Amino acid sequence: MHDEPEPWASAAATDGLTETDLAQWRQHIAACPSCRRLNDEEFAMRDLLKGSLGPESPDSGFEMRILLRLRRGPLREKRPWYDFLQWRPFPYLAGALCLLIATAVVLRLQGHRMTPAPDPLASLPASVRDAIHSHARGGAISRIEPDDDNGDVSYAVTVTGAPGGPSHFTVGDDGSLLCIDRALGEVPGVVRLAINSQAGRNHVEEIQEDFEDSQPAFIATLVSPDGRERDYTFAQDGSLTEVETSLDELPPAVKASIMASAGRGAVEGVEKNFDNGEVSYVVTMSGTDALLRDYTFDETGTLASVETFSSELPAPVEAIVKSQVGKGRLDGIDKSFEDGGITYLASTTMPDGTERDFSVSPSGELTSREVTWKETPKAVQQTISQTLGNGKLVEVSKAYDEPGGKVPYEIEASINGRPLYFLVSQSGSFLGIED
Amino acid sequence: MKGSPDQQSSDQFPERQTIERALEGDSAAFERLVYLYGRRLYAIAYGVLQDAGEAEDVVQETFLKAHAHRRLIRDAEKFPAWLFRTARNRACDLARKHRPAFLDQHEQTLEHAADSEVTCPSANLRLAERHSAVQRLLATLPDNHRVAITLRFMEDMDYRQIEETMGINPGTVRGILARAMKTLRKGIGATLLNELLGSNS
Repeated sequence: MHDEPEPWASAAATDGLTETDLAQWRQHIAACPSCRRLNDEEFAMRDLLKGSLGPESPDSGFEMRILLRLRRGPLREKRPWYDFLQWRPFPYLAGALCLLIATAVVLRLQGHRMTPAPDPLASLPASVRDAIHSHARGGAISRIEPDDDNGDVSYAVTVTGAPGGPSHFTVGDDGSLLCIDRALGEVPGVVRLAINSQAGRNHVEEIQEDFEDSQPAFIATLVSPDGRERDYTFAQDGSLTEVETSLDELPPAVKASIMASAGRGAVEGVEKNFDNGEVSYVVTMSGTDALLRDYTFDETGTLASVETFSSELPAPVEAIVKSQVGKGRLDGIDKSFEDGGITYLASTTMPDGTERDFSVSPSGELTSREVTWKETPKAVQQTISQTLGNGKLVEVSKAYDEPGGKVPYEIEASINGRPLYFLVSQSGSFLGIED
Repeated sequence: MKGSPDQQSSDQFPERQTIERALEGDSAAFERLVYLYGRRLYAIAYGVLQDAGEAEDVVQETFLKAHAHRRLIRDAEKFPAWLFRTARNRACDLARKHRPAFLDQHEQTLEHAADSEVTCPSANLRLAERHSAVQRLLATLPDNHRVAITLRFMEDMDYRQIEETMGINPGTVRGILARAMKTLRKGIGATLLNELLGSNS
C-alpha cells in the first residue's frame, strides 16, 4: 500500500474501494503523512472535477430538444398502409363504424334523412386548424373550447384515442401551442422530482407544459386528500416559480391591501410567485369594467404593479410603446410603482419570435430595453460570464436612464437562488452591484 | 447517477422491453430511449469533445442513426453498447477534424491559469478561472481517460456503469481513472493544488 499509494488514493477519491479496502487505506493514511498528503490532493482534484464537470451536465430541456428534432424528422415517417390495423383502438372504432352504418341504414329505411355532423374545425382559422391536427397526433378531436381573455383568443382542445398522445392541449389564434398535457414520466427528471417532493400525500391530477413564456414551464395540479386542487408551476430546472393560493392564506398586510385595491371588483385568483428569489403575490381581479386585471403586491402588501391596457396609457407613453413594438406583438404592459415612481413595463414578442421587455417613463422616455445575448458586445459578455461563474443569467438590458448620458448594460441574474443585479459599461468594465 | 436513465424511463416498461418495442418501430418507446440513454451519450460525447453544443449534436445524430438502423439491430441486449459505440465514434470523428485547433486552444499550462492575476468582481470569477483551467487540462488527456473522468464526475456513474458504457473489460476502469487522476493532479500544479487544499481545510 505504502509502496504504490497512487492507485489507492485515486480509487478512494473515485469511490472505487470496497469498504474493507477503504478502512485499511484510512488506517494507513492516519499514520503516514506522505500518503495522507497524496490522498488529500486526490480528493481536492476530485472536488475540482466535480465542480467543473457537474454543471456541464445537460439542462433539463435536453431530452425535449432531442425529441422535438426527432419528431420533426424520422419519428414523423409515413407508416405502411396496413399499420392502422395494429392501432389499438382500431377494433373498437371499426365496431363503432359498423354500428353507425347499421343505424344509418335503419334510419334511411324509416325515411329519415341523415345530416352530416358539422366539422368543429371548419370555422377556425387555417393556422389553428393545422396546429390542432398536428398536435392531436392522429387522435379524434372530441371538443374545442374557444376562450377570449381580454382579446387574446385561444382554443382548448380535447383529444381521444391518440396513441401515446396528449388528451388536452391549447393553441393560440396564430396556431402556436400554448400548453399541452404531459404524463409524469414525460417531464424532465428534475421537474418530476420537484413535483413529487411538492406532492407529498397529494395526488398529481394533471401536468401541463406551458409555452406562453420564452422558457417552457410545467404546471402540476395537485389534489389534497380533502379534494382541494392547487396549481404549482415549475421552471425547467425544477425550481418552483408559482403556487396557486387563496386570500385566507396570505399575510394579513397583503390581504388588506388586496381588499382595498379590489374595491367593488372581485378577486378571481391569487398566485404566490417566486421570481428570482423574491416573493410576490399576483392577484387577478375583475373590475366594474368587466376586464380581468393582474395586480402584483410585494411581501409587505405594497402594490408593486398593475396590469394596464394600451388604451389607458398616457399619449407619450403610447407613442413610444408603439414605436418600440414595431411589427412585433405587444404581450402586456404593467404600470410599476417600485422605487417610489411610476414606470411602464412592456413585454413584446418580435417578429423573429424573440421576447423583449422595455420600460418607459410617464413622460414617454425609453428607460431600458432588453437585448439578446447576441446583441450584447463581446466585452460585456465576457464580464457577465466572469462575474456569474456558475450563476444563471436572467436578462440583459441597455439602461438609458443612468446619469452622465452613458448607456450601460443592466444585468439581472441569480446566484445560488439569490437575485443579483449589476451594471457593466459598453467597454466591459464592471460598474457595480445594484440593490 | 444524476438524471439516471433508469429513473427517466417510464415506469410502465422495463428497459429491455422498451428497447424491443423501439426496435420494432414503436415511436413512443423510441422516444423513451432518449430519456434512458440521452445523458449517458451526452457524457461520452462531451468527454471526447468538451463542447456542449457539439455533444448535443452527437446525441441527436446517434438517435437518428439508431432509428434508421433499428431493423438491423435485432438484439435488444446489444443495443445500449451499439448506441454508446456509435456516439463515441462520431464524437471521435468530429474531434479528429477539430483536433489541431482544439489542442492549440488548450495548450496553456494550468500553472499559468492558477498564477495569473485576476481582477475579481465576485468570488465566482475565481470559480470560472478554475473551471476553465480544468477544461484545458482535461483536453490534454487521452480520449478514453477523459471519457472515464466525465462519466464518473458529470454523470456520477460507478465503475461498473462506466465499464458498461465505455464497452471495456470489467476491472479496467480503475486503472484508467488512476492514470487520469495522476495526470490531472500533476498537471494542475502546486499553486492551485495548495490553494484547493487550503480552501478545503
